[in-house]
Amino acid sequence: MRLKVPGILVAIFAVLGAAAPAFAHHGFAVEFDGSKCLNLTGTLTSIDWENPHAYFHMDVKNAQGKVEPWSLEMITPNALKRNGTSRQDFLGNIGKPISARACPTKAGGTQYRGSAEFLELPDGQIRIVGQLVEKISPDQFHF
Amino acid sequence: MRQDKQPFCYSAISAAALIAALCVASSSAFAQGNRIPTPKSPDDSCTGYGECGKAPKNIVGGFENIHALPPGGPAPRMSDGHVDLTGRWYPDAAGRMLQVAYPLDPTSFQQFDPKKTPEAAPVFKPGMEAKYKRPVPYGDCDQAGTPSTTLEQLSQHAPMELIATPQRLVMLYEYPMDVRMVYFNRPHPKDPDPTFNGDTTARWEGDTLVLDVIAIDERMRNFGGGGYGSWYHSDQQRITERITRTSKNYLTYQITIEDPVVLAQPWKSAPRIWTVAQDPHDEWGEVFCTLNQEPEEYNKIKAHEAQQKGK
Repeated sequence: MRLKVPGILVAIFAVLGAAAPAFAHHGFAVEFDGSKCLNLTGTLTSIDWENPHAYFHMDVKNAQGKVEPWSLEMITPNALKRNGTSRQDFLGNIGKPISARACPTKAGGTQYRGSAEFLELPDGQIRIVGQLVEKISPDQFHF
Repeated sequence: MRQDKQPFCYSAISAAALIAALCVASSSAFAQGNRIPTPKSPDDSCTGYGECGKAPKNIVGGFENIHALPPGGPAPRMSDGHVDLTGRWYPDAAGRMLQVAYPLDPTSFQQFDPKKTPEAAPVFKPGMEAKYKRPVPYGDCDQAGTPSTTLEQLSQHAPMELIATPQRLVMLYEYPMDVRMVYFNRPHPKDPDPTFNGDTTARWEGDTLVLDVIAIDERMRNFGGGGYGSWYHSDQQRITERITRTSKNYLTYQITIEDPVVLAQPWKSAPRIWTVAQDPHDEWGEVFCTLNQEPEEYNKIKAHEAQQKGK
């Protein structure tokens, strides 16, 4: 699918995400940098369908041609399912191109790890899979 | 019974970072009792993010269908005439899971309106706040016990399933995964064993089921999304839970915490609403919080920050 924003070029949609609310067990702002969210385009390589967070992994080729293996955190599988995204949606697309909007860890955290906000699988549908730290208006949900 | 009242959250990094290093006050942004993402209040104009009534196109989730449910008719009743509390209940007005749902109708995300029924911070007896108030350790996703398991659904967004008969009420929580078995017509034993969920008796006051809970293990903290942090309790703590089904679609659940050792006055939650699951295909889900990478990540980031500060 032709993407509007190639590679991992940063596309700042909305600025100044609200102070991230804290779950009882963790807080977005503690681990991730909501000011450095970026678009990732690459190949879906695997998923971890587990609690408290599901993860998907994608290989992203950076501007220098090096492949970066990203691990992106999502919400609990139960919430994904109830929002219309199943494990099969991922498994059926292993090895295929996907795009994700994600916010990386803060300095000191694991490299190429982030919290995904939304993604697009080859079916072209947008799926919210994590907390929307950026205030994204309806017309900005695309790649 | 836990003897050590010291906080769990000691850090190996530095004394100065003791409070911040491993402990984050829970629900710091929930001062108004709202859900995340924080939707605009009905008084705000609907522009930009969460543009009220407009869902993004081409998006999975059916968010354009989220709305506050109507009452849906009278509450069903059991064979003994009491209201039937049975149902899978979501901690919002929409009858579905709203975790990371795109915010369109702000009222449907709320369990209560903080302007109409605000929840006040707990009032501690002199000297007790320093002794008993402790933040939830970062990355903690252990059992929360009574009443926090119910209270924290304001931020966890997970369902509570109730199975009621004239003899008992089974209370199932998806996150943290938990079971409470409440027997009707059973008084408290003389010296109940402390448990995470406590010893519960039940009685009906008209259409309201009143649960009286004592003997909650002192390792359990009280917290629940109201922006007031968390605190430990004494063995004199007593919880009163008032549950009623006001209509087919709506449950009201109100919790009072009394602790004559720690609190100067009872802490009262707002009456919080829950709505019955609307999707006939919705299934109960398992959530055992076992593969949690957050504490490890947290420690790495904090160690890095401390190292940068030391330069």
